[in-house]
Amino acid sequence: MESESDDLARRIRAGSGEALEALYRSAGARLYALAWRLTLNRADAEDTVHDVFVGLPRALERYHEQGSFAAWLKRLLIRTALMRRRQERRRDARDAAYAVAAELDRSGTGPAPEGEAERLLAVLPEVLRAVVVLREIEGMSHGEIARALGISEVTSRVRLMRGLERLRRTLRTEG
Amino acid sequence: MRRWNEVRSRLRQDDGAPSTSGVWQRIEASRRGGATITLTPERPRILPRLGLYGPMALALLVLLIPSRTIPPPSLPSYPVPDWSWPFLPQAVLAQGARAPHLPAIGSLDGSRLQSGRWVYKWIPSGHPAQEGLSRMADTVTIRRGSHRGEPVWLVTQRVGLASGKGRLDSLYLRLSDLRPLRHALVASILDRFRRAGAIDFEGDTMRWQFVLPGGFIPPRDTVVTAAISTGYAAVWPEFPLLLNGIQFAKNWTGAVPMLLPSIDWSGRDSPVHVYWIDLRVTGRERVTVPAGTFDCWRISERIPGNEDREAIADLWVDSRSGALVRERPRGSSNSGHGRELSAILP
Repeated sequence: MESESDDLARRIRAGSGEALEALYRSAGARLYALAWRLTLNRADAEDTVHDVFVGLPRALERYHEQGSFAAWLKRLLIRTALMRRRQERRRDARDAAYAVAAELDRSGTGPAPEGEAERLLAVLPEVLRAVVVLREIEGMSHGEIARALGISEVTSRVRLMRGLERLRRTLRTEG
Repeated sequence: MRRWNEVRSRLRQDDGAPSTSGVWQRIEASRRGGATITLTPERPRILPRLGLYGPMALALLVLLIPSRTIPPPSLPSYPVPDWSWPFLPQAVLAQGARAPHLPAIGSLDGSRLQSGRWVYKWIPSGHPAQEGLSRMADTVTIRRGSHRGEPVWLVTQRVGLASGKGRLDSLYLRLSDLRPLRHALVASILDRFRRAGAIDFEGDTMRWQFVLPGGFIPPRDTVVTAAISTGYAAVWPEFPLLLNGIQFAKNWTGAVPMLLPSIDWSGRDSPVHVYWIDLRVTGRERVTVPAGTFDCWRISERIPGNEDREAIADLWVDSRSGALVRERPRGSSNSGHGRELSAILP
């Protein structure tokens, strides 16, 4: 399985559109779901997946086939999703007028979280949500989370604890 | 958290994300249009660790580097002293500025000193707070030397503490009259923080220099009061030595002005306290200590103007050599420890 992934990665790096499409067919939905949970916004999730697949051939130049390709791809998506959010926030801070417009635009293109899970996750600030999603739903280890988010394992553990505590409080309030 | 566990299970089974259909078409269109996107590279794993340990390492460097890179002054570097001789300076700090005292002594006779080493064993008062002091000893070493071309008595006074902490005082006393020319000290307050200072006496001016863990404190001058500078004044570690320089006799009395540098190791402020010690010969006694039996002058040592601690010690001084043989504090049992001459070494 890993060798198939590595072979796919080599072909994508060589510029094969077919290989890229094959990867999208096999992993796109899973990556999109992860992007959605991290951003809780359909437009952001779609943009993240788009950026990852368009930028993948060049990004693969830095992939040295060490460890799992699927894990590497997941880390790439997580970084891309969070970086997009970070850049947006910076832009918003620079231009208050843009912030208003962006908020309006966002509310128009992305559905507000409807399910109980999404509503719960929306309670969490982004930094806590990322760790809770990656640990509790994706089942990643703290080491993997630390590597993906560029934080220490201790920070990952602390954020998970805080995130779960906040979820606990929310559930308790709702009865 | 049961509800959260249920929600988590559902999320794990069903991704819950709204369906999307047009993403691949967007990707293809972007690729056909020649779009390139540079994705954020993965950070080296060392960075999070640096974020955690970096500030700690930096703080450690700040603590360690100055104490190792600042060259110590040219002072003897062996460990030592902590405390004083033979009285407690705290006692004199309460002395009134214009306290009446006996007539000041004129000059001392430096020729009465002799080279050698004198070891004084500490005698605890019996107070529980002084347990363990019996293992301590001071060593006073006197030898001839020179300071800026002038012949001097070079005196080191070392207080040996079992822990290695303490202080060492070095005195350069003018050969003829024991007037202090330089007082250098090293205090190992903590093993890592070695601090040192020196005071040079030039006329009526005391010039201070300190080397502290945080850096070198530039020299500063303190003008000693005119009243002191015109006559004889001692620095406090010199006390037992000035006893050598006095020719005692029956009913002899005199007062000695002492300069007590109150060293503020922060380097911000280091005032010089001047206080007076009254000395009065009260008798003559034959005293036996571990170093031998001596014919001594018994001398009462008082600090005038300090009601609480006015009478602080009795001293026994060898009538032949002038060396201090025994010191016994007065006052409360915890007011100070005594000492007696335990050995005379060549």
